[in-house]
Amino acid sequence: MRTDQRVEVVVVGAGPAGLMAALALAREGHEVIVADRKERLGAPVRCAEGVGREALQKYIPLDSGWISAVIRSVRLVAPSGDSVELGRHMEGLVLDRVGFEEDLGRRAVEAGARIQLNAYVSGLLRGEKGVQGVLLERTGDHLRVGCSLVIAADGVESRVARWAGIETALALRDVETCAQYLLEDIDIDESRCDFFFGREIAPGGYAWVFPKGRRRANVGLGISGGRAARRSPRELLDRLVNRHYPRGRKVRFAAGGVPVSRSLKRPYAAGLLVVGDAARQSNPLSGGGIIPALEAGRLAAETAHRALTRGDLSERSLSAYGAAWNRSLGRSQKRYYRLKEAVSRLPDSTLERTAGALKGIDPERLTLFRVFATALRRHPRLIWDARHLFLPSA
Amino acid sequence: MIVFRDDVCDHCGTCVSVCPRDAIALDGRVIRLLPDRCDRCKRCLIVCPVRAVEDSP
Repeated sequence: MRTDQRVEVVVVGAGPAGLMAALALAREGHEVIVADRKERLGAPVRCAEGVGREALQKYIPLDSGWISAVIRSVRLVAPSGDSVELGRHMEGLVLDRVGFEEDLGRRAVEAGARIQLNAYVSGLLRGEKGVQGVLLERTGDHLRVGCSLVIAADGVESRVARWAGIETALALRDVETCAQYLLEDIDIDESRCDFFFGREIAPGGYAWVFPKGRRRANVGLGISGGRAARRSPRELLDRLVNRHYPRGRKVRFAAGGVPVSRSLKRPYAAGLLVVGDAARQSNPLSGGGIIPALEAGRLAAETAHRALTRGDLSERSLSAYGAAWNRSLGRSQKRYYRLKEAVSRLPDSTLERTAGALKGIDPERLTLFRVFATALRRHPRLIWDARHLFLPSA
Repeated sequence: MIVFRDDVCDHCGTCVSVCPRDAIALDGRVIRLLPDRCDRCKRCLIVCPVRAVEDSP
């Protein structure tokens, strides 16, 4: 196959999944290029930036330079305004995604990976052995870059996996369509994340307030794509902000889609691995995608390292990654999907009854499991799925 | 014909994620419809977080 350039591995997309895969592969001595259409790592931020502290530090040493706020409790607000607060097992962080990804990127580069920004992958090179490279557009050049393995980390809008024949299109009900402002000059509890529920507030989803320190917060909401025909997330968000933070200053707006789907059954093909949002690996209940992305990147790199060492990039060889994902977060993701399906259908009256029943309980004693068990009283089978719940976990 | 309003679009890619025909290309800061592939199912229009997609007859 004619190529202009050859490398061992091309990673498409420089988000947490792609950067983690690149970092881990470069550490094993593989030659890796990461290509992203963005101008800058981490930007624009299309993320509420919440993550569990304990989970995150398994992947990267925490650095106060990219931690915007430390979260000690979570408040869930029913449509009536009644709320319950949870304070246990809740140590969370709100990140500065730009700083976080720059740090991850710097580590990948120090390990030997190359990161190319303003680089758009417009197609795949395919041969008898499956995926064998990418078409890369950069500063007006069109390059045919040959490689042994492509890692598709191209986010919710992933097209790379489709080009390799993997069906990735999301059903409308399996995507949350979101809008978010970074608000300044607002009075909030800077160590508490708030979640607002209700059909009029965020049908089939929720609204969030994640503190960013110094009287700032990510205030956003996501609604089910299946219920987005009537009002858009942006319209609903403007209403919420006008009601709760009329004096807040809007310094940044971002829209985005979050997969709340089952993950891809086969996130691999000959010469290709698919990771993160591209593989629909975000948590379908919370929408959190950072931890699943980092875990997928790590697992993909493990499989890739073995496959590259053996010189066997066949679908069968790479299927070890799919099995590893299922053993890792894949299993809990199936439970989260069932919970999402049930929770998104709960009527406002159930949310209000739940908040009423739990009102006044000491936040240090109230667990998310108990909240779900109360809300899902009429769905006892699902309560089993909720037994390991913790938020913001991912 | 489905039309993307580039002045409103945030280039977030949510429409691309639900398109069953891979009929939307989002390269750099430009969003384009690939009209030969589009079958006007309007899923892109429904999920767009900022109402940047229109269907003009």
